[in-house]
Amino acid sequence: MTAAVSEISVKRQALRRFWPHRGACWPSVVLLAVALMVATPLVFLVLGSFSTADLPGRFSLTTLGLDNYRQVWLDPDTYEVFGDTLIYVGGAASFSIIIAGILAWLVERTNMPGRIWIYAGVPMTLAMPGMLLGIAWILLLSPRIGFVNSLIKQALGLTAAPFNVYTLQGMILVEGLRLVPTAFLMLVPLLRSMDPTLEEAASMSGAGPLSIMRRVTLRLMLPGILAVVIYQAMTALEVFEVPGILGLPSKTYVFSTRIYAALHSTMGTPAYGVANALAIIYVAISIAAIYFYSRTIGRSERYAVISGKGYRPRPVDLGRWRWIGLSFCMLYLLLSIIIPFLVLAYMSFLPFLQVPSVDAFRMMSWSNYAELWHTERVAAVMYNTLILVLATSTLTVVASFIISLAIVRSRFWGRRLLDQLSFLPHAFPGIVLGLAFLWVFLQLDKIGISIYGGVWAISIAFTVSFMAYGTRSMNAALLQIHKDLEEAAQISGAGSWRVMWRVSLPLMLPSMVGLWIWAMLQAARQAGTPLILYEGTENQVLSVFVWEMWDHGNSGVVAATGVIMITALLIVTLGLRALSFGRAAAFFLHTDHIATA
Amino acid sequence: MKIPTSGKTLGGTLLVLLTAGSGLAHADDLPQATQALLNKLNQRPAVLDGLDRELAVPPGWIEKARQHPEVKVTGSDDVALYAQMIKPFQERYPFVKLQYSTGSSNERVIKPLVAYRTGRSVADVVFSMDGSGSDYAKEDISADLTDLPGYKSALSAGGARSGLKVAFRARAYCLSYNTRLLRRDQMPKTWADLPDTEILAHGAIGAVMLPQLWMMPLWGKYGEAWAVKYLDAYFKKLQPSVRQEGINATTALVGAGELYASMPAYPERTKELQDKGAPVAWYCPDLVPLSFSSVAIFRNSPGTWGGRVFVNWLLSREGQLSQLSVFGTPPVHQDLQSPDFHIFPDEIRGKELISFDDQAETEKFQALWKKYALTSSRR
Repeated sequence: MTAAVSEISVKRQALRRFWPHRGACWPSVVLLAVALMVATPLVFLVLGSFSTADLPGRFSLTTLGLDNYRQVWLDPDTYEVFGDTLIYVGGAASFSIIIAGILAWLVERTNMPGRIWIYAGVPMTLAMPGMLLGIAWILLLSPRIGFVNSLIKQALGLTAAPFNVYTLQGMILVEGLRLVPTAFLMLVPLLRSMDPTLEEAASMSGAGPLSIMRRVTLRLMLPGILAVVIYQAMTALEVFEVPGILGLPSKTYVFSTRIYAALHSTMGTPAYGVANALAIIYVAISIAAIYFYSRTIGRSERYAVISGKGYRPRPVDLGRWRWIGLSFCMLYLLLSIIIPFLVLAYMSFLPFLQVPSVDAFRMMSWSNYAELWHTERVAAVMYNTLILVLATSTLTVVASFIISLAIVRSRFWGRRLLDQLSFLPHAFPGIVLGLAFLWVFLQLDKIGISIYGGVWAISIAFTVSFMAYGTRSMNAALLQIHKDLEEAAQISGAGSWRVMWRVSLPLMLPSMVGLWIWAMLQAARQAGTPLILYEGTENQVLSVFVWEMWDHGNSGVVAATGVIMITALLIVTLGLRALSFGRAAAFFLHTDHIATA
Repeated sequence: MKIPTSGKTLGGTLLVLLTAGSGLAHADDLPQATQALLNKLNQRPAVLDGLDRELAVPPGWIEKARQHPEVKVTGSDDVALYAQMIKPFQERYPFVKLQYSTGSSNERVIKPLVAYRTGRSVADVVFSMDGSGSDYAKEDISADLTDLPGYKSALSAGGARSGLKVAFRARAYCLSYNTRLLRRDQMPKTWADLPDTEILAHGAIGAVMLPQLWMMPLWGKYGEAWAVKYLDAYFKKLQPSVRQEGINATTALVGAGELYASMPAYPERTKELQDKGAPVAWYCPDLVPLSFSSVAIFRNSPGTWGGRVFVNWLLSREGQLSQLSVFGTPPVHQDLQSPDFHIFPDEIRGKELISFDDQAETEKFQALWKKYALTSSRR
């Protein structure tokens, strides 16, 4: 008996040693792995920015110089671009956070009807690739062929179009709409996990709903909101698709399109060095953002809102306003996915791009779908895409969870460094990250590790890139789960793995599913990194295929692909959402039970 | 360069060629796909007389091609159409496995160049690489093509043959316009009139980032001083919408009415849209800028020998006629020249065709274009 007890005690001690205390070794392994994955491309990015060689393959220490920086900073356009970027990023991030905040609050904290559908529907907008969204909005708000403009002109007898999508405002609107679901997915867990007794106490003390939101809800959500603000601003900074489709025709540049223009030269060798020098600006901004984020997260204990106490969010009664709330949500869904999807569906049946008319409807056929069906490489493209999204989303969730565990739950000496390193990839625009990884994979190739060109190369680059969002999301979720719960389980005799399996993981599951879906959708729709890292048609993925078809003027096939792609993603996402709802509800009940006990 | 105007139709031209042949070829000797394409063009096999000489590559090439049968090819053509075009080749050389891929200029031309320099082989044969011809030449990575039997049959004017690359296709690069938004008489009569054409100003015309296709022939015709002044007026007065999409995508936007016109435009793509009912037309001012689409082969890539066999076939009468029948693009074979080989012969006939190829001048032009095209609209 004594021997058995002793054996159990030894096992527990061994398990506890694994748990991230100060002396645990696995956080060091995590740090090393993240450092390798993040710092290596960063080093190449920095070295490349000083390289005056015309091709990456010709890089050597003797070709280092300041020419690229001179070219970038002595160009007056850089300052124009800087100003436009500031307006664009500020506008798109603010717009998206305001909309997402309202949506999240309506869904999580009110008795608005149809909340489950809105909750399921908002992330659906992630399924709309930025390029397709941009194209759809051209057909809606272009001064020449925009359907909305035409209708308003006819109705009001105007001679000039009231809206122009080829402006900074147009870019802010479309990118803002595109950013909403990410902000929504980050804000919902914060609101869901918040202890409502604090709000109820404020209400009991006579505070009105707005005052409660401003003085209690928003303040409790501060670290989460700061994370969202930083993340959204940096996403808007790096995203290429919308500014590319809407800004380039009117020569309205932001940093990402400037880099794209430097890299995607149709005349001569791309200006790799200049692109890298421009990308260094991102890194500088990222370091500043990480500094502010770290300061906030450093005081995270003050913001823990899920504790061992029982809680059950109580919805705010909106009264008659609930229908206005629902209308607001419907308007968002209409603008961000329903109308653009209908525009794409319309395009997919046409032999060529044209504005809606009786003639256009007469010309409709299934020919674009038939063409897609008969295109031989589509099967390979679909297979590659499937591998890519499954691998990327799973790797992102696993990596982000492990990293966040080390950051939030350990007293590991390097946790702040780990946090900063994991956020750094967000400073890399997809195209530049692809370029940086191209260097890395080519070096690996020299020592016999052949990754470059295949789906796994893209998947690794994506995983590293998505770690920034993944760790923000996991950090926020872990921060909201007070250590009391885990400590209570440990005191009751549960080992570290059992605590993680029975307490931490179930509480984290909704966030994990959310992250998995987010990563899957991002991997399916982003084209920047795959365009750099894929090699040969046998390794093409769907986003590259769509980009290529658009470049060839096959708008009908692009639209047909988009319709199929969005429908498939919607089905998968809805299925997973439904599953996670059920599981989440079960876990919450289970948690309440544990807490009460 | 003047195209001979004898023969008013494709059939007539081919008949002239047929009767001028030194002997009649036998249909039974030809691949089935070749017989089919001749039937499609309504021609007799004798049009291919001399083909054997054109296809006679050294036996060592064939042997080496058998050892490395896979040939990676990049080009700007549609994959399905490309598969149709190479059918005669596949019957003749079944051991050569062509792996064709397409994409943006960056994907199919720049990326293989960069990859090759970093020790990887992404492609063996790169078609339509003219926009980066100077980079390919500078890198010294292309195979010498002068020993291809078909090399000498290609046109020699305007840089169609330069040793390390050879033209496989000629195209007139002019403008496409929306026929609902513009009448033909509203288009500029001359290239010099274009910057002052008010109806096309302020973003109404899309300028694809492949300006060398139409501008370099004008540069060659009128000289650098004229071209520099012209570009200034082009950007300051006309203020085109600089497009990052490809030529086809931009022409599709013209069809939709998003742009009034675009430049340059492929005649065959414009025709394809016309056939689908799109309100587009193709238009050339007083001069017809003729640019050649060239092909280069990486010298030391694994599929270089199979690539040589393939390119040689494409330069032959059979390859050029196969290309004509599938894509409708005019051949570069010296014996197959006529306005009737162009899709819009009325836009060609009676006008001077101009072409120009000079690496140093092209680099000067590219730097100048980038300065204008990539400058923020506020400035």
